[in-house]
Amino acid sequence: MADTTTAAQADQKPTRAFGRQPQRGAPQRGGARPQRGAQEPKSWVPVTKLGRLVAQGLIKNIHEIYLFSLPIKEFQIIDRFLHLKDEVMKIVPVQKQTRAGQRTRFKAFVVVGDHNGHVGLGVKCAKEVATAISGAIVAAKLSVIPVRRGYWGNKLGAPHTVPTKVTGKCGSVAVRLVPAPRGTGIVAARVPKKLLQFAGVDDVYTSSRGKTRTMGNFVMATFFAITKTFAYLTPDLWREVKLIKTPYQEHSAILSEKKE
Amino acid sequence: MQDWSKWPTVEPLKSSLTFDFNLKVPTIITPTTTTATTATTISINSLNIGQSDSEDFSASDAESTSSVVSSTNNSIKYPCLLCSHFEFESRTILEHIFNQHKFVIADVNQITNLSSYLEHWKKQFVGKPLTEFTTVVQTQTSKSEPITNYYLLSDILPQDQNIRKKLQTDQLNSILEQQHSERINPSFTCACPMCPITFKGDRSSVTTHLVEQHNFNIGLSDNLVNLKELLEILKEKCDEIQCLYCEKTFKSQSVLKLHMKKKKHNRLNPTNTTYDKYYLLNYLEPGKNWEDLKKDHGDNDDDDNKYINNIDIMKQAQNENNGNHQITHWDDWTEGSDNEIEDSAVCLFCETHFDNSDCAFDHMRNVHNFDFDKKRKSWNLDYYESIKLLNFVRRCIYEMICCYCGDKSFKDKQSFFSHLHSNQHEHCGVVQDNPIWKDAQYLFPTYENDNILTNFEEFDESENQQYLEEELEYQSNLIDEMQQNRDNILRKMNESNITLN
Repeated sequence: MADTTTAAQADQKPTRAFGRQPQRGAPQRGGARPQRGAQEPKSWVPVTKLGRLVAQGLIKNIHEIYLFSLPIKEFQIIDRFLHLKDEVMKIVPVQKQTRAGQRTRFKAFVVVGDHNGHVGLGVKCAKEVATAISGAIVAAKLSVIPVRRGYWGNKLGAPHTVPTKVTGKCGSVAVRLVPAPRGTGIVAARVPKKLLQFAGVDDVYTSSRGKTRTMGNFVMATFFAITKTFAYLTPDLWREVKLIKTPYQEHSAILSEKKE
Repeated sequence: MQDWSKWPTVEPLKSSLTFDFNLKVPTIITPTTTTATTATTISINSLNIGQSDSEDFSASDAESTSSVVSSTNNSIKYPCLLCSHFEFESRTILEHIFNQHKFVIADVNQITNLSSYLEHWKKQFVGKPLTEFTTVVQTQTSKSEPITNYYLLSDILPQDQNIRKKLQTDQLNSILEQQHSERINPSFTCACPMCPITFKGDRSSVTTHLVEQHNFNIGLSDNLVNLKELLEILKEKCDEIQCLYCEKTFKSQSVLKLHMKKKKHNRLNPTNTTYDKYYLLNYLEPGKNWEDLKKDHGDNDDDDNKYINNIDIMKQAQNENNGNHQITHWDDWTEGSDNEIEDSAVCLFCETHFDNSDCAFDHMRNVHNFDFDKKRKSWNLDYYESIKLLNFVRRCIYEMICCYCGDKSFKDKQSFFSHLHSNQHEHCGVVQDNPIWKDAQYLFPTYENDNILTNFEEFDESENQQYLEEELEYQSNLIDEMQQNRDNILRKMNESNITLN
């Protein structure tokens, strides 16, 4: 099953080899990998079925993918549909005990989002900071989730807050998001506030419990909470919708064409 | 029944207020490490290794340069371990310690912060004999002369090892923080070393410009720290018409450019240690530069890229939902000291700061007779009403109106607080019937980053429970299905005698 290979890594390894070859002797100093911006010239060759459909433009909107809960394994799919901004939240040195002493590496925590309904969180550990950051951005793009926004009171204007009270839990930390009236702003600690800003939520109250100093768990708990906004069945979603075919079924003819 | 219409009117705030904490401004720390110790070469002719556990002690390699070069910072004091002498340079203090006290520190170049190391051990040595922590090395220059003892402090001792590790991680963390502040600094301006263009805002624009326009690669900006200093050094060298790789000077700019093009000297000299402190990789492990690290570890990143099948991923996800965490990706990020400022809460009724909101609520319950949880339950306040109450109290305290009786006659904080705290803190609270605090303007937070607002609730399990149960059911069904599919496929492959590689 081609879909089980993590294609993101398949994409990354060739670029590493490319970068290292011309430099003899001092790869780190010379900057072995191409810069983040220079990835455009290499065009994307999709590896998964979904990737192929997206590359050919047969899927118009990312929400078609979300509707069927299809796993997304290539970050270029997300790039096609969304313009995401990224930000490094923290770089932490982590150590592992080996036979030859300790091995320290850098771990990067990155949040991506378009400030309008989509967020993702990514983690990556690597020997160099730049590798960790770019790997974390890829992981974050693969984890992008849609965020449902609603109203506190009158349904005037654009949705601005979470539609219902939702909670998320990770480790010992539990976070609860409560709808707030327009103009409240995000009432939260610094890091979850950033996540909520990237999600495009304008007003919300938060309530947290547990050891919030484990920032990683705190952030994941808020992430789970905003994931639940689309999992909650509110009365306006009660109306039955006709079943539609999954993209794989719809475009099965095109997918089964052999490559030349 | 009180007449609430006499309550002083309070206009809604245009924007939230801010607390003023007495912040200690976090200073930017530049790494200070030991200079190359050249002078203290110890020549020992015959060694009789004395006490307890010590390995073969070869002449200390004091000539070896440390991987991160320090700046001779005049404000750092290096205290002597055993007397009250101190010096301003690491080299001289080590000389002093050796000459006066016959004391040697092993692997001194790998200690990241020599002055704190010395200070720590200074405290430890008070009142205790040297031999408790050090190993003794006995030497004798010739048969007739007396035996002299040298004391060696090394990381055989676990306490010493811990200190060294701690100093190392502290330095690493501080340097990462500095890089982080550089990364998010919007007012970054720097000039390109080779042309007069200046860059603002984004650090990586300078490095990409160097690569694209001048074909010179110093590495990705994410791997660099103190980028401005590095660029200034490069600028100096370019102004002196010196090649940045082989460091030969030339007659003019055009000759230099031709030389760099021909010889492909389009990167920095890797053996030049003055550039080491700008690359983060060198801070990872002390005493080793990037060449050693590369030799040591090779390709050890493979364990991240193991092939995991999707059933295992689903099982891990299911375990996570149950609360048994196997994926510990996010556990490494624990906030240390910077969170003390963010977590802190201010009492509603006096101006004391607390480390976190739990302490603040305890204080309010004990000192001000204000038990918020009890009030919430007895008055049956829902979430929004509780928020309104808290914001109302904050606003009243700010405007110096008593939140209980509406008294506005106070001119200064002293009399106001004494009124509030009178009668066993009767006025620390609100009257339930008062309609004023139920006004919608108090849904907006009075103070920004008010931790009282985010932490007053007891967690309610029931909201989460139903969702969790549904998720669990869905996931176990999915896993069963996936397992069945897998078994079917394997069976078919066995039947047609295809083997997995």
